[in-house]
Order: sequence, then structure tokens, then C-alpha cells
Amino acid sequence: MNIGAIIKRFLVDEIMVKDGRTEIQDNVSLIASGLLDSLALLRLIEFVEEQFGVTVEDDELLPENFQTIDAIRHFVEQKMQGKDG
Amino acid sequence: MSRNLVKGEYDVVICGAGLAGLTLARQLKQTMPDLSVVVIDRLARPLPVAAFKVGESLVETGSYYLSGILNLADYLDRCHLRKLGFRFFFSSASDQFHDRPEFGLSAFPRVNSYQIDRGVLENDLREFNADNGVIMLEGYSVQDICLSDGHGMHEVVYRKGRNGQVGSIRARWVIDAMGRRRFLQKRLGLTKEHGDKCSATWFRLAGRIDVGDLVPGHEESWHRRVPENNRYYSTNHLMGDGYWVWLIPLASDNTSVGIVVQEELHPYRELNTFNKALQWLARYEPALASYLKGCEPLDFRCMRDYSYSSRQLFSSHRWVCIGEAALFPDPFYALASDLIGFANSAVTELVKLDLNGQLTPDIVQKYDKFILALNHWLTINIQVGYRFFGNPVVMAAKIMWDTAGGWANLGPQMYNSIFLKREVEAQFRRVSGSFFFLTRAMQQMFVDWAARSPARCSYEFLDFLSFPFLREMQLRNLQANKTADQLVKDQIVNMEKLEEFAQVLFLLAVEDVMPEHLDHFTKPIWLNAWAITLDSRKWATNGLFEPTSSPRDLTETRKQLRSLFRFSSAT
Repeated sequence: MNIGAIIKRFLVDEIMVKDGRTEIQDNVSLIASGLLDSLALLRLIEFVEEQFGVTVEDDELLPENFQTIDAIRHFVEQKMQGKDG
Repeated sequence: MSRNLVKGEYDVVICGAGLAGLTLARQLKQTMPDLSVVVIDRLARPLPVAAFKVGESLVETGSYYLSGILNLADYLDRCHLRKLGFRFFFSSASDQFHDRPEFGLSAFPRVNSYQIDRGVLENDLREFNADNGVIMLEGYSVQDICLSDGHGMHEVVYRKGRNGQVGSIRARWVIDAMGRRRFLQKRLGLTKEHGDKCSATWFRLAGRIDVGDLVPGHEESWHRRVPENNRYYSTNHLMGDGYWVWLIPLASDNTSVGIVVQEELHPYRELNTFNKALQWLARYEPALASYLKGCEPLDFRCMRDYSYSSRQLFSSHRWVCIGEAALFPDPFYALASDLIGFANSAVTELVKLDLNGQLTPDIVQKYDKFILALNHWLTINIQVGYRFFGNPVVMAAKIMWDTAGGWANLGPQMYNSIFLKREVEAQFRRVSGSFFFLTRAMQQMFVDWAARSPARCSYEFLDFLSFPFLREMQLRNLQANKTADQLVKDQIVNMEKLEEFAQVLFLLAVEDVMPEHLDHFTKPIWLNAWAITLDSRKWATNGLFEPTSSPRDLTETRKQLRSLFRFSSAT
């Protein structure tokens, strides 16, 4: 499974279902929809750090990196490349 | 409640009778009068007054936990001090104290908060608890906690005094409230490092150490700004880059003084004894140092790298860590009592669910994550500012932003216990969800603003409740007994107001840092607040000029905010 799909599955199974939310559309902003609040984000960071072996720094917690699943995928990929290099 | 003490079995045993343990015992008995609750603590009454513990300043939400949720309002009014909000004196080029930009209130606000003498409060809470049927085992130290591995009872082994008889009790729930000893956290390997390296040192002095005494009486306009010498009743902060010094009045007619430093700028070794702390003050806060000359402290304590967190606080196997046995948030906004309040309310709910046979791992994990996330983000959002704590304008902006965000989010959570009400909570979180990244964008803006601040913008005295935006935010949110409908409606307003406030703060920063760019913002101004940054190269790519919300008029809020500051043309 690619990074984007893994992240989406985590968001749907672990955050939306547990928080009693309905399906989210791919094109909806995770931020504007209120899905990625402070609680959900902490869980997502723990997941991403564990799953992909990267460390998310506090100053990287900017809207541009978490706007959509695609943005998160891009952010994680860059972190992974940085880690390898 | 006359069960045999040694062989008896109880519903809840609370190890540790500090603020967290004592307030939890009160809340449990208040909610479930038939519950059997035992509190064990190594200290026996009378506890020392004043020179006891820190954590003396409460904000409105933490105060409401005690006054509203625990029904202690009359007691607090009678035995502790009403607080005149927080007050900050920032760095100034002048060596005169009265030239320092001052951010604080001139009159007591409508919403109460308190300065607590911890020795007095904990003595009294012990007595109230005993009166309410809590079994208080005072002078007994906890030797061991043997957790049940399944559905059975936990066992707590205690000893009377230092070398006295050993006994044990069994309980369905065991609460570790034994402070920084962090008994269960260490036993279970749950400790998590957290936050920057910040340290604190503090002491109590007899009598009234009044910040007003640092300014000569003939500076009448300074003294008139806050009538009747009332600055004393604020939590006074003397601010400089990488540090803050607190002055807190206590009802026992003593004053608490503390220094908090970030290691990078102010190494802990420079202030870890009373004499070194005085030398440090002589260098960074000379006016206070001269005033304190010759004072003998009632006590002196220090704490290195104070922040920590945990990987887990609550377990469905009926053990719980609260207070400092759980975590330690950065003390700058005095939110420790808020976290105690949230955690205790969650634990009370968990015990209630357990009694009714409705406790599930999911609900335990949900409350656990709520407290952990709160501590995590609060500490990060505070500590991002330490490097520019001396900057009067950026810190005023940051404190106003943090206060507004705190009232809009923690306010309803505390005053209306939203996190415990499943239906409202889901709606509330949906409405509030976008706030997190808005505040992240703002915190980054404050960092960049401080790095580039040309000191063109200034103020002498800023009374933040004279700013209608903040006054309305406070009154809207620090209010109990709202209906679910009202809570959601108000939260929609809160989020709209914060979106507007972010934009007017950004425009103030642009005017300060890069006034030549103001032309980019043609009226009527309405921006994508989530794209706010002082890096103008990112404005287009981040979508600053492509808001997704419908424009609202910013003129009045911008005018109100702008009127709090003065701009000079000199750089």
C-alpha cells in the first residue's frame, strides 16, 4: 500500500470511525473540515512517526503540510528522503 | 464507611494528598456520596502555610474548577485572594522600572480568578474531605502499589511514619497522585520527555513584596493607571528574553517569587541557590534585586528541566495517574490546575461508568488522549515564545491570541464539561477543528515577527480587557450551564472571531515589520487566515489571497487593536 493510502486508512479507521464521523471526500480540506484538530493530529503524528520512521518537528506543523491527504503524503515522502540522505 | 482500615476493601484509594489528590477525593464524594474513598499521604496536618508548594496562581478556568465544579466559591472568596489577572512588564531600553511596557488590567474583571496559598488550601481540603466521609490516612507513606493483573483489587502497601507499622489496603481503583515521584509512571516505563529544557527556582518571602514599590511615588501617572496599588493582586511577570520572574501575593501575607528560565539563554547552574538567584536578579532584574536586598527567604526550591509527559495516564484496568504524577505543563500560563480539573473530571466519570458496568477501553483511551494532547500542545505553544519573552509588542500580540484561543476552547470545555458529553463534544470538535492549524500559523508568525521586529511599534500600558474583542470573548465563553445548542452556536461565533483576529494581528505585524507591503492589502481586506505568514514569498503559493470563507468587515476590530499600540517612524 502506498503512503497516501496508509494515511487515509489511518484517518478513516482510527480517527473518523472512533470519533463517530462520516466518510471524508478526497478533495475536502482536512483542516477546513475540522477533522485534523489538536487531538486527531497528535494521534496522526504518533502514527506517522512510528509507521514511517520519521520525526515530525513542531515547526513543521503548518497548514501547508497537512491541508489534504496528498499534502501529508508529500510531506512524509520528503521527510523519508531527508532521512535516507 | 466504618470498614476495617487494614483489611478493608475500598472503591478508590488515592495515593498522595496534594492538590490533585484532594480535589479528586472531593469530586468523587460529591458525585457519588456512597463511594468509599481513602487518601494516603506521608504528611500529617498541620501543613506549613506559604512555604509549601508552588502553583499558587489560577486562571479563570482553573478557578472555576475549584469554585464552580467543586463548590468552593465562598471558601475561596473568604480564605484566598481574588486575582487581578496576569500582568507583564517587558524589556525596555530604559533602566527605570516605570518605563517598561506594561500589559495587564486596571480593574478587577467580572470573571473571578484566585491566588491560592497552597498550604492553607490543602489543610482546608483535607478537613473538608474528612467531613465528607473520605478516609484520610495522614502520616502514612506509600511503600508499594501492586496492580491487579485482571479484574481483581489493587493493593497499596503503606507504612506509618518513617519506621512504623506496615499495612495494606485493597481497592478497585488506585490513583497515583504522589507528585514528581511518579511512582506508577516510572514503574510502568511510561515517562515521555517533553518540551524544551526549562528550569525554575523559587522562594517565599514574609510580607508584601509589591511591584508598585519598584516605582517612586512621584511617578503619579504610572501609579494612577492601576488604582489603589492593586497591581499587588496580579500575578506579576517580569519578562526578558529566555526568562520570566513571578511575583504572587498569598493570603497568608507572604509573597511567592520565582524565576523560570530556558536553558539555552539562561543556564540553570546560574540560579540554583538562593544567593545565585539573587545575583542573577541583580543582573537581569536589578530593580527587584535592590528591593529584595537583605530579605531572608522562608524557603528556597529549584527544579531542573521541569516539563515531562507520559505515554498513558488512565487505564481500563482501573489505575490512573493525576497531577504531577502524570505530567507537568509549562507553568507560564498557570494552567496546571486546569489540567488537574480536566483529568479529575474524566476520572470521576470513569469511576462512575465502572460502577454502572459501562467502562470500556475506548472511553478510557479517549479521555487519556484528551489530557495528553492538551498538555502537549499547551506546552509547545507556550515554549515557542521563550526566546522573545522580552519583546513587548510581539508578546502582547501572542498573549492576546493565546488568551482568546484559550477562552474559546478551554473555556467551554471547563465551564460546560464538553469533553464528557459525547453528542456536544463531536459537534464542538467539528466546529473547533480548524483552530489548531490557525494557531500554528499564528505561532510561526509570532516567531518570525520577533526575529524581524524593528521596535517601531510600542505601548506604555495595555489593558487587554479594554479591547472589546477580548472582553466579549471572555464573557461569551466563561459561562456555565449552556445548552448544547448554545455551545455549538457560540463556538461557530468564536471560530469566526478568531479568524478575524488572526487577520488583524497579521496586518499589525505587517505594518510593524514590512509597512511597504501594506499596499498588497486593498480594502475590503479579507484573507485566508490559515495561509498567514510573514514570508511574503509564500503569500501567493499558500493562498493568502484566496479565502474560502465569505468576507466579513474587519474595520472595527482592526481599529480597536491598532488603538492599543503606537507607531513611531524611526527604526
